[in-house]
Amino acid sequence: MRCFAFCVLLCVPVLAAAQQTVVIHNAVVETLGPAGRLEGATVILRDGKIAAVGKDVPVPDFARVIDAQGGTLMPGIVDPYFQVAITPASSDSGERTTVIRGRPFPFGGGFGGRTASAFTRIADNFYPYDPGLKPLPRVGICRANVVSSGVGQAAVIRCTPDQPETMLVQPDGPIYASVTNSTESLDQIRSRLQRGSRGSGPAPTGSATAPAPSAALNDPWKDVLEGKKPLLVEANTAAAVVHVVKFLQAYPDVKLVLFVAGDAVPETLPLLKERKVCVVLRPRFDFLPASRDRFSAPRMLHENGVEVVFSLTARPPRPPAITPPTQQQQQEEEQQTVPGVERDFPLFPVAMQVKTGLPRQIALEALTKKPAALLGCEKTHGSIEPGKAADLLLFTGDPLDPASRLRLTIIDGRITHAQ
Amino acid sequence: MRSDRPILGLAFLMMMASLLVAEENKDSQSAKPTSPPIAIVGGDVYTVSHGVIPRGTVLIQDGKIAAVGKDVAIPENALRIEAAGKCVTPGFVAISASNVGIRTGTGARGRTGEPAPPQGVTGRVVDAINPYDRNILFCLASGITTACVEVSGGGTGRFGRDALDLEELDETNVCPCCGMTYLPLEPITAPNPTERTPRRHAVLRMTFGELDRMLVKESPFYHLPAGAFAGAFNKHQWRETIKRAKEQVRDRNEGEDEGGFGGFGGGFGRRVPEEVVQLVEKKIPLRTDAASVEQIRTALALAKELGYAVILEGVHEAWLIPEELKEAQAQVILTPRSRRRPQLGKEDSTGSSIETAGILERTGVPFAVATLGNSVNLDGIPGRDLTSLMLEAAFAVRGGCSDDTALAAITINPARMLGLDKRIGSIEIGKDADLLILTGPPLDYHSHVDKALVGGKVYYDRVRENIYPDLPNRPKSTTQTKR
Repeated sequence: MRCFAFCVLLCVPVLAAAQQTVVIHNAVVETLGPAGRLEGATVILRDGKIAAVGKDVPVPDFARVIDAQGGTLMPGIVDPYFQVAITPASSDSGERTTVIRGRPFPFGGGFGGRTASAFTRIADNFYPYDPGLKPLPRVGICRANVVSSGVGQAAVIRCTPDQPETMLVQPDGPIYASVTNSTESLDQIRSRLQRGSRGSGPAPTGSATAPAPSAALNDPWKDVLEGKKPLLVEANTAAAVVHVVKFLQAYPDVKLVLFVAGDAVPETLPLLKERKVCVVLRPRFDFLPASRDRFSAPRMLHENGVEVVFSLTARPPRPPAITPPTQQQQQEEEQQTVPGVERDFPLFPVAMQVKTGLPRQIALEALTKKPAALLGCEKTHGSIEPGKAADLLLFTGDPLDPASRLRLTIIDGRITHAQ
Repeated sequence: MRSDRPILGLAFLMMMASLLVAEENKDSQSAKPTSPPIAIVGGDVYTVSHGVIPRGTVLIQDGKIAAVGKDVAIPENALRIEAAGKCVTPGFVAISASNVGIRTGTGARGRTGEPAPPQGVTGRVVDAINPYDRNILFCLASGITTACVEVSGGGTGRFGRDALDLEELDETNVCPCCGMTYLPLEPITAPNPTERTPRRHAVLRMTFGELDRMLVKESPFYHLPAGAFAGAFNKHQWRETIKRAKEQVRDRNEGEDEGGFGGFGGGFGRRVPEEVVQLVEKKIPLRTDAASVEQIRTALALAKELGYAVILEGVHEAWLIPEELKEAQAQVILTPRSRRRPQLGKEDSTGSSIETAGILERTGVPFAVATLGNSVNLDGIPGRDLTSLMLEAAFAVRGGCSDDTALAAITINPARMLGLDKRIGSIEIGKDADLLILTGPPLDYHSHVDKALVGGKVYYDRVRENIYPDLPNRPKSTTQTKR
């Protein structure tokens, strides 16, 4: 009996390892690491991590082998600015009607239940059963930094909607804010940064001994002030960019990341260069200001030495329904796509950028390595190297070829989407 | 190829900027950091204050006018701008503008297809400035270098009615149904004494792309609609407001602690706006519209009684009582092409007149010219919006005033109304180098702005911008007189 138990103990790890080991061979591998581009290479995945990458890697026994003849393997896409619409869930936020002396009076729900200056912590509001998250693996997005409108603290998720409980991987993400050029909007970040910098000063006024109740809320802002966490600001126009950058000149330690529309780039380029801002934008072609001429903002930024990061997704068109889905809705969801991303050609806009002069390597890094670095997980994500997390995309051909399809999406060593 | 050009231009600009920076660094090592002077050479200089200097030179140093005249020594390192055959004038000052550099909901009446932005600026003006607003370039292209931009529109009161509704009731009216005249009637219920919301303005310089230089001043005047003084209740309330403001000034001068305005003393128990205090202290004038003789007289009488300076706009019937305006030392904003229909049977003593500008000039009432529409509107009826300011001033000439007065009406006179006549409005030594180089004489509809300088820097160049293009093969008109 004891002997048998010992045998079982011996066998279990072996079996488990055998189940988890996946070998992809015969693939072209865009490692985006020091190894560069490898042709006819083999990648071994074990325990959710990449165990080995190379041309002459011995294939272990008991492994699941995927023949990727003619296919290309690239690291999973990391989306640094995945917007979700968060509906308030507090008990007093919804509208309700009270009848007083026979006359109905509506109460609450005045401005959608949210004020502009409210601070939203995404991790507390994240709804992993959101049908809008389902198609993310299908378009190759393996990790996403979830933000919303207004101001708050983002959260990084891994896009495994089939395992909703384990999606939230980094609840304390960067601080995000979407601003326009108006006092109310700019004060969302200005007043908080000013408060944060006062609080960290040597002689705080008022309650010096007892920490204020809001001290916990101010913590992420302290990290922002010290440059530990980036500050993600969505600035909708060139004017908003100018106002944000000018204000942050007083805070040189703040690591500013701007999410902008491409048409705000030409006018603000000198400012962006001077500040060394990292710019997140959609791979699109925009109009030059006051003209009908199209241009590529990513290329312009890259050629002027500004770091570019791509976000494929667009703002969600409507808040997701949180009612239980009907069967018909479920069928629709299977057809549903990520807003802003073509279902079958997710990388087509990036391919267009490469076709019009953005270097291929820069474009691929802007999808994977750069956003991973932005979110502070460059040690584990963003490239195909031994020891890193096994977030991989296998395309039937070159990822930037419109004729190729996304065959497999592997997140943490597990096939999350297969076509 | 064409799409490359702006990028190339940008690259060129940046190269220039880096050169300038290098230049500055070189200079900063020496005793005094200065940028190279700019000399505008060979143009006819319309100084506004000292007549026209034919083929003169304007020298600019550090954004200010350093020298004007025929024989100005040009320093070696000066950047020369050739203006031979062209005219140099001060930059125009738009006294009524909206939606320039600041996006607000007001003034966008004629525009369609654009979602209505929120009404007015609710926070600080400087945060709402958009230095990349295209309208700034359109203003520069039509000669405006400084604009008094409406920041938030005022309410006309609780019922939203103008002064017209009340004042017109004093006149004999014709029944629209039977054509019989009926006797003047008192309104059955007088309007409640509601406090009118003043319109807020901010003076912006048209420095396209440079946020830091744009805002000149806020609240250059206290602006109320004529309805704020119509009727006994409103007059009473305005008197009370002024009384409280004077008390506040007195208390402040006596060094008393402010804030003791609770209770009955302050009427409503709250402080009057800072602008009203400045009005009482004669730091800023009151701006109001006054179309009819009645309204003009009401505004002037109140100004005299309560002791503040007044700017009247939309003065359609000013031609009837120019002497009274002169005696009250009122300043006037005029739109020569704006019309008011005379009353039936009173054609000689009511309504507007094309000759108002001439009459005001002869009487000696200073006036500024404003356009019919106060925002830039490129798809409305042409020649009415803010870009037609120079044309509107030419209509003042049509109404009998001299060219010099018409030019002053879009330069030094509005500058004085804004309290900026020491800085802008004419070409004088020490003033800001807000200058225009025009292809022909000002007020001529053939003339275009060739270059516009704000604070000694070229912000608009006709060759560079594609706004009013200089078409190369445009046929020369045979009827055009040579000047």
